[in-house]
Amino acid sequence: MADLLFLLMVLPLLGCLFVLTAQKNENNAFNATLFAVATGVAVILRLLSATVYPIDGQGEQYMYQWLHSSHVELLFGADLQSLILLFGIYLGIVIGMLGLQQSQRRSKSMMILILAFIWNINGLFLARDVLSFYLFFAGMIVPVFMLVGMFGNVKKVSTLYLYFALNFVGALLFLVATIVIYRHHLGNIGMADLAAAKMPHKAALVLWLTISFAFLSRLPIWPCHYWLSLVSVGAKNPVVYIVTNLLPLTGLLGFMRFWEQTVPESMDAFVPIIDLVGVMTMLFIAFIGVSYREFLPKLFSYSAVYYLLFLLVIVLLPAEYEKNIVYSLFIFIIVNAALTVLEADAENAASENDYSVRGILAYMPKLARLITFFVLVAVGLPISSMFWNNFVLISALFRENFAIGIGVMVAITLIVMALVYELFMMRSLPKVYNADCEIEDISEKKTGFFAVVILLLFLSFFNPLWFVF
Amino acid sequence: MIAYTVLLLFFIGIFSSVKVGVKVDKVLAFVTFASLFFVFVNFCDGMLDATEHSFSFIWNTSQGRNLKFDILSNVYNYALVLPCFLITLLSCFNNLLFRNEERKSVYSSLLIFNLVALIVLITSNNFVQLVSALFIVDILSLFMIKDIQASQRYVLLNMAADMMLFSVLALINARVDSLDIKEILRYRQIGFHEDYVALTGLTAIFAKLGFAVFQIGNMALKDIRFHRMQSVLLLSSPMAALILLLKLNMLWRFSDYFNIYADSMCYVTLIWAFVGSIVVNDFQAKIIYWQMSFWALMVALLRFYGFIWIPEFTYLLMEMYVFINALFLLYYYNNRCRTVSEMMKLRLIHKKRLASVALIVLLTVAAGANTLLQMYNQTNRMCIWLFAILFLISTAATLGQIYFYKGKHLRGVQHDIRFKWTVWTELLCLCGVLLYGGKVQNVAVWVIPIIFAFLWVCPMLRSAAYFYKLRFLQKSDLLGDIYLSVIKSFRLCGRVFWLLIDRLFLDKLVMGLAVVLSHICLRMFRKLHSKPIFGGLIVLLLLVGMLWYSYRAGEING
Repeated sequence: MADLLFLLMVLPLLGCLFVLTAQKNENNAFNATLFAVATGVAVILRLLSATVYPIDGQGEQYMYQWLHSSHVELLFGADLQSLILLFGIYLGIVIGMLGLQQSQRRSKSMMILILAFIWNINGLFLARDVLSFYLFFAGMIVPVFMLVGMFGNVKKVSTLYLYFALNFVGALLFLVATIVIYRHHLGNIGMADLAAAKMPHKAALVLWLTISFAFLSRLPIWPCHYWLSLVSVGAKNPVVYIVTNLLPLTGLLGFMRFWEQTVPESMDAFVPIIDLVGVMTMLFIAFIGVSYREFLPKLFSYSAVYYLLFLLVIVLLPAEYEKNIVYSLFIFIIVNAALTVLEADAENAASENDYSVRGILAYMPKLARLITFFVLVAVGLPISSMFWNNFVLISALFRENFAIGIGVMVAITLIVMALVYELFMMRSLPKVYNADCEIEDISEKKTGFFAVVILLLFLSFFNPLWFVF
Repeated sequence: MIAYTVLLLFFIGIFSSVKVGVKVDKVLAFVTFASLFFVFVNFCDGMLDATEHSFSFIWNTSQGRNLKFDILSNVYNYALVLPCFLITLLSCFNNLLFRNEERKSVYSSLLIFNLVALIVLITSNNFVQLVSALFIVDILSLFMIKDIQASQRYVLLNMAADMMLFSVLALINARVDSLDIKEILRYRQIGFHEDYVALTGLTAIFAKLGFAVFQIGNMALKDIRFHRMQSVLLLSSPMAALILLLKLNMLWRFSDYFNIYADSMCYVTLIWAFVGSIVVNDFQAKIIYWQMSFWALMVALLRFYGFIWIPEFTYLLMEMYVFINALFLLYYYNNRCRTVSEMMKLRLIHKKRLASVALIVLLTVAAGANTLLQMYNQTNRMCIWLFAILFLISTAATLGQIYFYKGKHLRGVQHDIRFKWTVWTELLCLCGVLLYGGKVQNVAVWVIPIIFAFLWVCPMLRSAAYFYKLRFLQKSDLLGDIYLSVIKSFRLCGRVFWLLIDRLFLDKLVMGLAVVLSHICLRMFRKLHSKPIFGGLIVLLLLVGMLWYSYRAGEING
């Protein structure tokens, strides 16, 4: 199975090669990218299958040693959690790519950047040592920055620079931490071994503070949420929106990998600060989400609130809840991607027909049904495994701290109401409307694809891993 | 066995939801009703058998815990399911008789799926199944309403209530570490924010029932079709809320705030519903107010009976169903006029039809009076009296206006609508069954309809029609405005937060400071470069300082 890990790492690079050599006609680059991603999905499913149903003699985790050096051993491995999240990300990107317009599909550079992003994501999720984790954590900034800069429709260049600077500072902080670890252990160290590593109190504190700040810089926690929101909300390209929205996941993954068992007691004093800022930001973003009048900013607020919920769970609760977080995140990523693409379709239909987005879904029944379903999943109704897992997580938060539980519930309720309200706005006809207006609904192909996604989500309600055979 | 019933209902629902042509649709709707009737007979058979069965399967596993789907068949659950089943069956029957729906079979399937969700709610043994069924009922209500504008407030209010219940159940799960509903008893012993649980849970249930202050969701239903409104009012979220109240009553009945909160809400709702039903001109809105007062009575009586479902509650529900159906006939014969004032202006040419409706109304009042008299005792007498007086006055006033108002400007004539023999006979039979089954023993049962008839013909009550002319009263939407202002204040908060914290503080102040600082640094470095000796000295000093610091800080490496 270690070969499969290697294949998964190499696939995006091979895809890049094909894209680079593709002729400049219709959809060659797009098809090569889609094929690379789809093959990646197949590999992940195989790895998942081997993880869930291990063959005799094989463990549940697979390791692949890349560089054989006594100081710099780069380790890659796969476990259930990372594979499920990777599967979700891949599906999210496939959904985003299918949402691209014909003109957008022709861009070779975009395809290469998407593959570069996927390569980094693969590396990050499969990294099992501190150095490789850092390499992909920092390396990810480049494709994201270029994707946002070239295709993200960011109105102010300064916003883009600030966004980059924020992520760069985060990466630098993590570099400092990596150097401190390297210096202490005279070499690279596996993330699992970090817990056993003994360090002086001050050094440990500095180390964990830098690591925490590095990961927090990726999350939509105050004040980092501001630049993330400016970059995301302006994006007209669904892939760019999805990619920028996946970036906080890397911060979350960092906390999942480092925080669980390895965090020293010296950080205990800072945990309440993270909790407090997290809950306050959740409420703050939820209120801002209510105040928006467009769907996409509301969707951003929704995802920010949920990312912070997962952060609180990771920071506050023991590792046994990791599976619940991962199952919930899997649905969350797919729903976010689907809603982004469908909303972009509604926006496009409205702009092509010189019509307002308000009430647009009254003319597009198929699109309206799809958006309604995904909104209902997003708000946590019992249609997917997100419902049950969120129940477990919120319940555990209540057990840990009643005030935090209340704060989280208020924020979620507010943002859920905002999303549902916006859905009504998109479906209800305005007072003055053109009765003769004929708007083409989304294509049969797309409807069929989303029907499959809906099936995937619905069946997860009964078994979150039903797709693993 | 209820599980068997659920399975059959589920298949009938799927069968009925198949899209067919208009002609086949009628046949399909009839076959659906016939199958439903067959299942009902089967259900009644099981109810009489009354043996306890349990059906359960593991539906999901997490945290080492099995999440079960349970359908428990016992006498109590049968008794709770019975009124829901009966009303669904009768609604499907009425769906056959009226041309209300373009796709009758699809509407029947909706009602059947709703019944399945209600049964799952009633028979649930764990919180997750309970909340899942509740959410499904709410989603189905969205389809039942089938009107985007009308469903907006209804859905948003119910969604907020569902989230409250979600938080309450999550809190209890956090405390008892079990999803089992029976563990509520243990929660009571341990205790953990009981008052929060009681107040939040009860508020959610009152919101779903459409009690005073929260009726805004149900009031939006006045604009949808009558039969759909009736189904939503009796079978959807309010019914689910009543079931929740019964299942989770241990959560709040021992809170210090329970009695005062429940009492005040019930009485305020009764009074508010009375005032609303007198003042409002819209006929469907009046029915919503009457239904609102009915739910208030049910909650109050359930409280007095220790939240135990007794057959009298089933009778009350059926009586309300018959009463609303009689009003539907009245509406139907009066050209489906939206407002009472329009009905008042109609020249009545089909007096026999109206008389037939009047007979049904009087018999329903008698049946209702019989049930309430049987439940009447020292503890609940005030509640029953208040409901009876207010309800009879407001309904008599409205009916009097429709039947006997002598307007100066008769603008319309009753259409020649066929006498609905089947519906009338159905309602008459139902009244007979209710009166016979209720075992009339008290003479007062017959006195009350006579008093009601007297109020009905009494010209004084008809003068309440004066309110219909007051445009500000009819147009005003006080609660709607309040809710809107609450939403607006949330929006305003969001905008202010964004403006003050994000825009002013982060963007302008912090980033502005960073830019100014970087400019100062740049200027400083330029000055250093312009004076090489002085600048070199400063750089040397800085380097020495850094060396010294690194020497001191090197201690951290041990």
